[in-house]
Amino acid sequence: MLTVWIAVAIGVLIEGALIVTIVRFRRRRGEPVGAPVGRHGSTPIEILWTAIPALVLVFLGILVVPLIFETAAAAPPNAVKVRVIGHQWWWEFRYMQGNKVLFTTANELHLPNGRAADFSITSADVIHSFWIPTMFGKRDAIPNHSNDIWFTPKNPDPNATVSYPGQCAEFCGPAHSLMYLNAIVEPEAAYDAWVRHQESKAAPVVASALVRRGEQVVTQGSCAGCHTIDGTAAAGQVGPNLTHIGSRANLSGPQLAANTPANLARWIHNSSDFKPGSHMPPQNLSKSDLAAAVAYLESLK
Amino acid sequence: MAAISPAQVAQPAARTEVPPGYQEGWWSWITTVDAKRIGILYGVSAFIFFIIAGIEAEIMRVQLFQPGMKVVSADLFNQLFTMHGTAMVFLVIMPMGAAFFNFIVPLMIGARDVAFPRLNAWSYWVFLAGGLLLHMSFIFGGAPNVGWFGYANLTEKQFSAGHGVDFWLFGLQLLGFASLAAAFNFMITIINMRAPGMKMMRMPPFAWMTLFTTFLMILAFPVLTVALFELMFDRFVGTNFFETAAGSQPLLWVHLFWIFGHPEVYILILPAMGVISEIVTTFSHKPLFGYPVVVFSGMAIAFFGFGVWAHHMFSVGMGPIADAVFAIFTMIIAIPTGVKVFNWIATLWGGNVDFKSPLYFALGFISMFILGGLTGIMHAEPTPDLQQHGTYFVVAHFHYVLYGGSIFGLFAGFHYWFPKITGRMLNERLAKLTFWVMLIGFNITFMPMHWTGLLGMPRRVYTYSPNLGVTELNEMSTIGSFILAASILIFIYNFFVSLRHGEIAGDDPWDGSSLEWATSSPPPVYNFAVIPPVYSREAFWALKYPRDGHGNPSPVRQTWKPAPEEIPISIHMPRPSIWPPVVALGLFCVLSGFIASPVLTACGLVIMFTGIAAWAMEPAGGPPSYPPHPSRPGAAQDLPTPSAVPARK
Repeated sequence: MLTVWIAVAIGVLIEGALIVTIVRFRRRRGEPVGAPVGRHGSTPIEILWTAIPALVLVFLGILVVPLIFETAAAAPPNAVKVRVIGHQWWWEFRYMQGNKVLFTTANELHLPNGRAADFSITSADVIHSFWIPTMFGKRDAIPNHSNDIWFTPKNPDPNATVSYPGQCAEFCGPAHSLMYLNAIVEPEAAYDAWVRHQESKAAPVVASALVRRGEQVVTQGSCAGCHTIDGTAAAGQVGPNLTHIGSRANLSGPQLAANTPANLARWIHNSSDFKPGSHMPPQNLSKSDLAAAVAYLESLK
Repeated sequence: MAAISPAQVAQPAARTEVPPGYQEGWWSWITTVDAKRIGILYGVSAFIFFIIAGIEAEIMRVQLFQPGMKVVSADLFNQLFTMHGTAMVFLVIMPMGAAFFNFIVPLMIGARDVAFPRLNAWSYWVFLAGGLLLHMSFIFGGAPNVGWFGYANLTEKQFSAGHGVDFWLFGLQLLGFASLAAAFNFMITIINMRAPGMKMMRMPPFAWMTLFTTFLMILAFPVLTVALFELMFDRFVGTNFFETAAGSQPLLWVHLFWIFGHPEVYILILPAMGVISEIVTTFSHKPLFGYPVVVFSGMAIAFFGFGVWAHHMFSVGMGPIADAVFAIFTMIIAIPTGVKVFNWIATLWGGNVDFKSPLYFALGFISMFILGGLTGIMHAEPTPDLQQHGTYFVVAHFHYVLYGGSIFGLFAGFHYWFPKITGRMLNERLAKLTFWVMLIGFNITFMPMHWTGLLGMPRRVYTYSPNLGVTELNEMSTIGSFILAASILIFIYNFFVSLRHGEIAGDDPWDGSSLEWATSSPPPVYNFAVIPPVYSREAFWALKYPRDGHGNPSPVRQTWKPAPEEIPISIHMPRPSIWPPVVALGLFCVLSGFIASPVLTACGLVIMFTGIAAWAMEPAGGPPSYPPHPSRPGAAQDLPTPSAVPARK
């Protein structure tokens, strides 16, 4: 913010000097013009107006350089560790403990209020950029390269659950504009409950014929080729992990679509409807199979 | 005695024949090696590309008017912003600068032509070929859609399967070759072909900025050439420069691109800064304040420009030491830039400021460039830049420096030198109207984008969420863009009306300080019948306001004309040649053949090498031109002399 105020002050000064100059020295009608003479220069003035901006910039530099090192410092040891993997055009989140993956989810991130969150960021395909604007700056997700960024989310009301939408900030192809994510910052207790739930395997199938049929369609059909649902035969590594998709509030992010049966059905039928160029091919399921699949997925709370 | 009709009076043998090759007609334009004509070709082509890129921008602004609009598909939008950026940088601002280098710099330094006239022509035709190749992509499978900076590995065949990226790659290679040839040409012209007495520190500032720009081009373009060759080999031969599956680092491209890309933006701004120095001097009717400092600031900007590239990469994770070093160097560059602005204001201070349209645009440059420079300082700090990078804040910043700066500067130069190039004045009222509508439209378009970006809208997006709260700001930007477009229409109208009916300009309508005003408007093909003597900086003022024995300059403007005994009987200018365009065509076919067919490449090689051989072997020296001379019949009148633009009386 200080940089902004310094910039505004400098701007007002220089623009002001320009306006004062051209008004004061404008050619008046009828005045004789004379030879084009005038001061060629002045070494003291040149030194002065080189030194003063230099000092202002040195001042800024002294303030900024320590900040650069501070933001690059290691995260506190109790930080939540998340491996962020950018894909065309969705976000994979692997919650880690050391080198062990606790669980994998997609697009929706939960974080405990007041505790540092440490992100190790990479990409599975092209360069993306992980950005939650209202929370912190961005860091690029680059294939064959790992980037780190950490910050401590702090809700104004420590008991509230607040949603911080984010999106990809480095052009990555046709659906770049729609590569959303959502970070939900909640009290520590709620966060712990969410973590424990995510670590569990897929919810057992309830005694509903539709949902059982849906389990068959999803875990034994083409879906399993790309998606993983822990505890079932579906172990595909291409698309988002769907183990607890029923508990996600949105498809992709709140900016795109709420996670309703109607939207999910539309997504499965033709994801390009929502994300042009999506790599998930349209699924040619019969109406009943589609309804079953949706019912099953929504049951995966 | 019967009245004698005029037809019966023996007319003196008029030396009106226009030597072959200088005839009017399209062939004379294709074979021209006259830098003034080449400048006009660059200028007209650049303006056409400006209109195309402007239309692309308008379509994007309509699409972004509100969230969820479906004016264009995501993929078409991506093609539009890629082509808009690529065209504005390489096909508009650079060639507009080249137009002025070509027409004005030889005149300013008292030269008759550039060092390598045929190479000069070749640069233009290769530039045109590059621009055409880039735009042909629209009809052959789609324009490139990877952004003007084409980050790897999005540009690999796996992620960009069509030919769009290939058109982009080869188009840019052609533009690179054209720029390099032009840069060598102008560097050598400025160093070697100055008039007697025109020491380096007496050169007009525009000539200095041109010289620094040529250094930037020569050192920066080869880096892009290398990166493009690597991309080409990845796409065509299967190498792994940027192939992540083979373990490569896409950051290699990012570094190479910005090592080129940052000096490139100084290539875009230095010529405009040179124009401003000229205009501020002339219209303050006062020498440029701090000339050596202005020159050395240009040198400092060019030099330090090579040390700041990674400020485009603060989010890439280079580590705090690299981040800090690049932040510091970026802040250092602000100093010479600011110093130039202070010197311009100091030139105006104490002067006799004449508010003509070129000065309006120059003042527009100064005020808008200051704003862009200030947001630049905000970007120089890595920590806030992590918010600003990749958002509309950056879009605002670079449009303030590239439109508010370069484009306003080029419009200033155009309004300043139009009389010299065409012999007529632009209509002042329309010109001032153009300026005000442009200034207002420009600010309404781009000022809101600072907030749009800080509120979280990334760049290169074809739509945005209504939850972001940037809808009204986008609406404002779109409306502003139409006002901006209107100003261009006013300008085009002014251009055509003035070309036909503008007031005759004469040699020196502005009481200019530099030598281009010491010859006719438009100049004869040989620029000066007699190269004017150069006694100081502001060489033409020194001739028009000669100093008396006490060193006081004449208070009244004198007319300077060369002494008749110094006028040569004839002047030989270089012969027009078809071989530069032929070699350019060959090169175009060679590169297009990579996309189309190897047969085309083979034909291209044949054409190219035949053309080069013919070029090397053709005789030097063209037919003579005859400057008006008192000893020759008809000397009392102005004899028609071959000139760049047909004189309309």
